[in-house]
Amino acid sequence: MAEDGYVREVYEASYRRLVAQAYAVAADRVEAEDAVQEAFARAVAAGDRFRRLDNPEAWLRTVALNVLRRRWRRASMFRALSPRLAAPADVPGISEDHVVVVEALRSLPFQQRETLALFYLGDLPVQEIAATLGVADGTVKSRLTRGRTALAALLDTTLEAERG
Amino acid sequence: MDESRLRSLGADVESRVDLPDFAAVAERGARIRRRRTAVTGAVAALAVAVTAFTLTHAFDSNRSQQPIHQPAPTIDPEAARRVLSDPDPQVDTDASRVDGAGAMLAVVVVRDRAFGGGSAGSCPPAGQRSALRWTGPRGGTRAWVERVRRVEPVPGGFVVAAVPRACRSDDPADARAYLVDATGIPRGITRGPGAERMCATRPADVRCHFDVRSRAASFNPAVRLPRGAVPLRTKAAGLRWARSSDSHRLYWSADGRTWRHRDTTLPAGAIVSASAAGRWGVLAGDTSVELTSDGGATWQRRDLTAALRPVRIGDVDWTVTPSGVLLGVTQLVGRGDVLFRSTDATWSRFVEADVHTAFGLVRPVAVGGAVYVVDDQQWAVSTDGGATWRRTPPLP
Repeated sequence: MAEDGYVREVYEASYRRLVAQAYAVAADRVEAEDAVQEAFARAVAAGDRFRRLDNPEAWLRTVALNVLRRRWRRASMFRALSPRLAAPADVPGISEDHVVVVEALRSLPFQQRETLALFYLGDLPVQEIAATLGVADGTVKSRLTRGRTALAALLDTTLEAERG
Repeated sequence: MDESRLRSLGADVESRVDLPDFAAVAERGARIRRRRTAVTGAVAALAVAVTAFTLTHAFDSNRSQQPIHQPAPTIDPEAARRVLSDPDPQVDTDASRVDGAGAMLAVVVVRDRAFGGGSAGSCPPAGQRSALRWTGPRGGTRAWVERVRRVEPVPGGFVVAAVPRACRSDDPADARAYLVDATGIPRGITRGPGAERMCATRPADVRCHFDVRSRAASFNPAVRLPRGAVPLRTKAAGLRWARSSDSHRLYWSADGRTWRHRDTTLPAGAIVSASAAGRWGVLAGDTSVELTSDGGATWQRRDLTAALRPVRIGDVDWTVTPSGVLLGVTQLVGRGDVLFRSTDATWSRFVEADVHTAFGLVRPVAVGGAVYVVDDQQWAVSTDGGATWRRTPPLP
């Protein structure tokens, strides 16, 4: 199918980048990959509508984030009952330092995590993050500030000041 | 560790993530598409079914637009006379009613002692004979044999409901309701759509409307009572009234669809009675009342303690008439229950009415232009706001 061919092109170009961002949000490789694959599957299901998107990667990122957010909400109840039913899966081979960073990210609230991920890993400006998450610019900035502060405390270091 | 540790995390992960075969993702997408197609098909099928049902229903409704005429019952005055002249006839005071003109339709029952008076559930006892006796405002009477049925006053007469389904015999007349006009003559009903089902067995339902003059019944499904409300006046023309089950709230409506309400501000714990007629609504507790005389537009509170001193009241059951006269029933030690009334709509003076009993009066009921009060034997009916009372004639 022609649409599938287009989705395949986007898949090959964006899949790894999206998984990296989703991994920073989910702090679990399996969860991250599944969310991104679900987003691409919905792109396939969307058919020609996906082709007409101006920014297909932004659309895929939003879908993947929504999937993660919904699963995180569902899992919250089970986490409260049993804090660690299964250990989160790391990406094999990443550096020890990044394992520590991911471990610290896991300790942050979900909203701070997704904001940090979009800002640092997705390299998105504050305005685009606000549009993606459906919140105000100020909310993004405050989540970034708090997230950085919390992460710095966790990593016992100081992060650079917020970009312009 | 600085900000670059976060940035480099992305690059590190990206470089180590394998790209799964796209075919698996495409298959997953195809499954989603199939599921959506199935759901869309189901929704479409449901829509078709609903549309078909609606059209069929509309067709049936159109078909039943033809009014259904139900004949009046056959009158056998001689048999009725035998019931009424029995040595031990009893008036069922719960079932009997007074209409807005002051006519009374009494349900007279003679229990056959040979059958012991046993009943099957809520149905009348086997062997019971009964009759309806109409007494006009000027004293004329008519009577006919009839099974015990629900009687409902409506403007210009009465509706006699169908026999409850569980108690019906093979006689098709049991399933029919009929009207009793202002001269006491039973009349058949021409029923509009929907009325044949609901209004025959439950004529008091607020959705049912009866016009005695044109001998017609109609059903308006848009009319609704507020949730949990008890109807006070929902049949008369003009404002409709209802109350909450604890009588602390009055509802009123001009069209029966949208309702407004007023909650009492009387002291907590007061025993409140709610009454309404015409454009008057009253929430009363002890000797304090809240009232409206303009259909709920404005409310005021009055202390009637001084006005009521001459009649020395205790707990009171209050009723307001369409002309704004306030009636109350109270119990006086040594005298039983007495009825008193305001002399006019200002409620500045109350006098005792010539209606009292040692056994207990049931709170006055206002119906149209009449008000009546019942004890365990008789009715007293007034059509002049309680100034004069007419007692129903005794059984022969």
